[in-house]
Amino acid sequence: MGALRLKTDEIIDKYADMVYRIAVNETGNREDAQDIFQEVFLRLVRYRDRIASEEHLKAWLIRVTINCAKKQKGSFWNRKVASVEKSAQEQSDERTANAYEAVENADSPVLLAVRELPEKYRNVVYLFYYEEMSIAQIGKLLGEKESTVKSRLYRAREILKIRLKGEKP
Amino acid sequence: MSQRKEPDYVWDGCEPYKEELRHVHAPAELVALTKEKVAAEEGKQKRQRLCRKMYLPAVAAAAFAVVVLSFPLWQKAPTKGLDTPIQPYLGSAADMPKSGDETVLQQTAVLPVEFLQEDAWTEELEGIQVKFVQKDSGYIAAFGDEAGYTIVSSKTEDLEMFREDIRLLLQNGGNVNEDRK
Repeated sequence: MGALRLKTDEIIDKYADMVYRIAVNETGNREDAQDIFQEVFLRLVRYRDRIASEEHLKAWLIRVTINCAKKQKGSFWNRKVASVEKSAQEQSDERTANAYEAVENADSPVLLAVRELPEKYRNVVYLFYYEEMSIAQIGKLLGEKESTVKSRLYRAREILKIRLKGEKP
Repeated sequence: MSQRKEPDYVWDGCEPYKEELRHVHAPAELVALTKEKVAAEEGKQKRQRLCRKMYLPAVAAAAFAVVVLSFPLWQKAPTKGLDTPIQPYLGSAADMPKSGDETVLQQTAVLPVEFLQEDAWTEELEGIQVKFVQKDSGYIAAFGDEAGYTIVSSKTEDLEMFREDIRLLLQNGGNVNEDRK
């Protein structure tokens, strides 16, 4: 019932960074992340009556962000070609710190390595290591069995080990 | 949390990963723009809900009113009493027009079966053959021909008075009850 007491503005203030991080983690692209960010909170307006608690709200936001990112992939590739020139200009205009610019400039190998993981591994890495959710919680959130989540985490770690340490498979 | 410390889940890059992500924040302009869009969407939804709240009961009430007001049209009350339009006389199977002791007239194309009973009789009144038969506690009379019969019914037990009513009727062709004074 806590979520129902929070106004939508307050919810945005509280979860903006989380939604944005997931969107960036999923897309690796700031423009797409911004679109997804807005879409998630617009959907919240439509569905907030069905959200029973703040815990439910957090899980709902994570799930919707991931789903919106999946949907965005179809248009992501179409827009990528058109936006190449624009992104270079936008980069030169924007001097404010954006941690993901560091990724695009390859200054953050860890984030870059995670972003390059297949989508199904990227989600579990983020949820497990950053959001510190349990295997069971991740399974419930993504609609996957715990064994599936475990094996994806294992596989993701193996890939990251190789990429970050330059080890050959 | 303890799960992350289990050997199977330990990842060297965990802390650097978390540290890097902590620096990722939603841009302030994006948050402000999103709040504007959300406020507009909330306003739109409120208006839609209000419309539904206002108009739905009105529409339902109008539909109910139409049904209720048209209900009388579904049921037409049978017309009875004096100087009534011609109605078929259904004989003993139907209820006789109830009008107290007053005489009731009806027109019919067929002579009712009551007049075929053995206790029915015929009298000549004002030069016209009139059939009589006793019915319940009153009398009924009929005169006419194949073209049509006039049936007169009365609850009066006084045959003479009933006969007088028929005579008046035949003389005046008017309302028996008004003439009886």
